[in-house]
Amino acid sequence: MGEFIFELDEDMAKDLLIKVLATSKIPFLKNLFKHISSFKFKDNKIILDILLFSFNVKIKSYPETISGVYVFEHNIPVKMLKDQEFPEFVEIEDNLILVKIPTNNILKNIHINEFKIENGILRIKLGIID
Amino acid sequence: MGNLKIHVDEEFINKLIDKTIEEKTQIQGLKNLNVQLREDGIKFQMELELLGKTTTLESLIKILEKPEDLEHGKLRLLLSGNEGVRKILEGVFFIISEYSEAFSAKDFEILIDFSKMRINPIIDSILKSIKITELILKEGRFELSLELMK
Repeated sequence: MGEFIFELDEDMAKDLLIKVLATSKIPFLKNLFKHISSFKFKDNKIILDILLFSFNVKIKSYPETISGVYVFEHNIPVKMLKDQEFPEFVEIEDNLILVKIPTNNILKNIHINEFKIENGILRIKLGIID
Repeated sequence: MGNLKIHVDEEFINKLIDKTIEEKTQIQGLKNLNVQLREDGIKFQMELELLGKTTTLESLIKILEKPEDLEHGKLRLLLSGNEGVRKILEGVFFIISEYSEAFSAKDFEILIDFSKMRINPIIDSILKSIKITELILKEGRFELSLELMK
């Protein structure tokens, strides 16, 4: 009890991503996603097959509360991502993507109980810090 | 079929409110706020300390109409319960309605019209293609399921 559950399946995630990118300022990603052949949620990884390439983004670590640093490992060539406009809370390194969520009074009280990608579903379970 | 599910129970909401109120001492007089998610709506219980006395006020927000999708759908709510709380809630929605055409408040009825909602072009285009497959308030739980329209 005392839980918040968020579940997103891979079909919805793919469609949402395509919709967001269609209106975004990241032209490279926008064009790339027109050629996506497979989008899978599996073993804490997002696996994308585009043209002849297979890219993946894996959850490496996540903070205790919602605010903090989320670390993802990726195999997308950084050259392809450079010069693209990402939001300021996203940092791209050679094989890492860092997402930094700033803290506030509400977020710092929300604990991440689970943050998992498996069998086609991204699941986030939240609770309140005691 | 793509699906997005959000489930939340009242214990989560109440614990979060308790934590937030505890830290925000500037909400003077408000000692406790409790939310119940029931089949007929959302019940608020407020414990206030006014002039040294503790008073408990209750209010119920009933759902009169649920939206089917986020493009044309409407959410119609009815405020009931303690007169003071009702006035406060009506006032809050009145202030919101000054900023967004999507909200309107009249005679304790609140109308949220999603077709008038403007947030930003990206979010608007996403909201337009989302269909609500389930919106349930029951036994202390709120359950929402969304699908993308093709």
